[in-house]
Amino acid sequence: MKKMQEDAFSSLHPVTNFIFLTVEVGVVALSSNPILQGIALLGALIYGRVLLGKRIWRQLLGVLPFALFVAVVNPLFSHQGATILGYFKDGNPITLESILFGGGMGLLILSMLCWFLIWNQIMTADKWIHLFGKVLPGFGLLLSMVFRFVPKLKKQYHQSQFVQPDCSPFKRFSMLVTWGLETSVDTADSMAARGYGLHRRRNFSIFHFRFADGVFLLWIGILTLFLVYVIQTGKLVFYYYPVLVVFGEPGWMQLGYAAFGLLSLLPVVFEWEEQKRWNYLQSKI
Amino acid sequence: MELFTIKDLSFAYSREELALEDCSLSVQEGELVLLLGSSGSGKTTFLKQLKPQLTPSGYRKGEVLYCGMPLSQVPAEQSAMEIGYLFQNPEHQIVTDKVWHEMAFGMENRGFCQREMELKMGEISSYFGIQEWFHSRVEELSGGQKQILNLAAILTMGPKVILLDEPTSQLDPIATRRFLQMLRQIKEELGITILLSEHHIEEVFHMADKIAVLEQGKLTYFGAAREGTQTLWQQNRQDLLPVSARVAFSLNSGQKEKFLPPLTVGEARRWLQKNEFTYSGSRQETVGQANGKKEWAIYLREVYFRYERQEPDVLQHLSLKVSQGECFGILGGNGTGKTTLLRLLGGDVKPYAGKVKKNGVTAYLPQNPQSMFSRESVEEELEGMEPERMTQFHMTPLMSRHPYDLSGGEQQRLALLLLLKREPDILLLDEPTKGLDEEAKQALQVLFAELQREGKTILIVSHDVEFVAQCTDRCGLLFDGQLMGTAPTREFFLTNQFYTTSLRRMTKGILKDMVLEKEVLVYGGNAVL
Repeated sequence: MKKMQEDAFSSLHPVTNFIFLTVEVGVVALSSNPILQGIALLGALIYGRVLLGKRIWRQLLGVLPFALFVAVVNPLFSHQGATILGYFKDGNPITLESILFGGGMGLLILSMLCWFLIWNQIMTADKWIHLFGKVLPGFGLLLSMVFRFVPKLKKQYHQSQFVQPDCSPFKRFSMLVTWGLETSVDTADSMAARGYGLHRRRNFSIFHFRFADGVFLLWIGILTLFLVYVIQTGKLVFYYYPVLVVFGEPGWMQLGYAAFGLLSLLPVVFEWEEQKRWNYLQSKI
Repeated sequence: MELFTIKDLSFAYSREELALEDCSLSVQEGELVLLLGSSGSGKTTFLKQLKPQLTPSGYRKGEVLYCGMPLSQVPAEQSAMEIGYLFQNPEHQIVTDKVWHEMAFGMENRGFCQREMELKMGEISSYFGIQEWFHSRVEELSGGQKQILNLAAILTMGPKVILLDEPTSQLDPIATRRFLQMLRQIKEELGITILLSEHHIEEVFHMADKIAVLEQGKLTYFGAAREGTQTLWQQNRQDLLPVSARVAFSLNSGQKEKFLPPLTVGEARRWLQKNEFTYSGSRQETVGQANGKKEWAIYLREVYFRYERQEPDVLQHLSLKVSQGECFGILGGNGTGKTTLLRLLGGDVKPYAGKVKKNGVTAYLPQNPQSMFSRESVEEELEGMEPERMTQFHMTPLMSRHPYDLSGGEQQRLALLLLLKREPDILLLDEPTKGLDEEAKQALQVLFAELQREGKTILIVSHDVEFVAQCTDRCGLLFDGQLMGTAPTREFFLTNQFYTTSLRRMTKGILKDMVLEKEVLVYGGNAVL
């Protein structure tokens, strides 16, 4: 799927992208605080709108059913909670808390899925390879070879469908395997001819770490640490069970939420900043 | 300095047969040496002996010296970097998915640091004009671009010599030309030694400093290129000569003293004019192709086709009428829609406007004949085939072989034979001569003629002008989605300036109305000196 425009956040180093997403999704998953999750969702939707335009709504519609499912199913299984609203046929209570918790879970799933949609947009094959290459050096090349091989295989499959339409799927599969092995011998020769395996490999990096990356990571660091501090020291509290507890020290609590709000909107803010800077530089010409 | 010194090299894969026998030659630095020979004569085996990473296991005698040192003693890292090897198929030798990654591959293997790699890649991309597609995915490139990418990728490693195994066999004429020009450039501007085997003799012979001729594993000639033409002529290896030389030799057969023939169309024209060869007499038509009224086999009327609604037409206002038993040739550049047209005729896709009528069963031969193979041996593939057919196609000695182990020409014949299993009336052939040597092409021509006699209609899509000129009855040029200038073959090639035979380009304005070589030879006696 081709991207509409190359936005500022996407053009940052893949490590920055990765850290941002990990932190964002990590907070959402670990905090079980629906307000935080709601903020994350909002951030995803706003950035998604910037990134994808109107298409984000269609993608949202795609993930909504699953979130709703989770929300509805929870009360059926979880019977914790102090406020009892009624009883099931089998005698288990339906509690307010479990309904709310279900809603929260749904919200969690929804916001996580939305961020993954964005992730899918931002991550190109090159970025995947770069990230994997950092962790497992040989794997980066392997991934690249897979990305090379798959379209080739698809083309050959369509070719074989056209040339031999009446062929059992097993036969076709075996033909493709033979073809694949045969062509791979040439590829292996090509690799050997260029000295593969003779020396320790060094991966070429097409991405460069910029000053903007440093600034971005610094902001992530500051905001995350602040949020963690606020939560750990009990200035921001949210419990479902046994009773719904929304509590925190005034001022600190709001700041905590604001910090996370800013964190979730960092890509959007960054894009806005870059746009402003661009316009400014343009006006100077 | 001698880059390669080869003395009495013999090689055999198995104890039974020698693949190479007592080959001796030397390659000087900065030379371009052309390796000639029919399919199976040992060219690939020979080239692989010079690249340690690719040398097959077997029995070897004799010595190969690289820069004075036995090749076996050269450190692997040095031979990997300094001796480049380019394979025939542009597709399969590409390892990664992105252009930039492929260029970096060799250097990554060697452990270059980031800065070194960046500089090298930038330098070579600029030199080759690859900057535009530096970030492209490999699958988006054309065959010609892929082969240039392969060449660039080898150059990043700083080679002293590059070995090329039929590098242009899978490319169309324009891409071939561009690639060979690139090769010549790096030889002359960078002093890199080139050793290549080729079937596209016309394009490359004049660039060679020396030629080496292999025949069944034996080196029958090694020496200067132009002088070598005489030896080839005397040894009856005219198929390895460019058309210009062949024509010059046949017209000059009276003269006894040795002379150096022209090697290009330009040189040939000057030579013909200097020696005042002219011919303006009349000539009778060769075997009449206009056989009067015949039933049509294919009828397309103002056909329009495109793949996606938003995209432009691939075929538009295309009309075509092919008679039964006719052989029709379709020429045209890459990407003009030739394969689409064949797919349309094969019934794979349907036009959104216009009429398509076929009188008979169609069968399509793809560009890659390997797509048609599904069994472990030729015998299994041809199950249920009449023995006469198998002899006609010379398949009998190949029965126990695996289809993938056959040579290019043999694979092409096998695929064609498989096509006949469906008992088609109309054969649609997509680039049937890709990668074939002269002998295989002639075998195909004979088969086509026989099939035509049986009443089959043949439609050939090809870049191979020489082949099409010899075996088709009528031709057309596919351009701008239409079939243009459809005419009987002779007329078609007499009119065209570029899409015509070398012989025509050589003799236009000098010898009247010559299209095929055999015409010159027939009328050679009548040429006025």
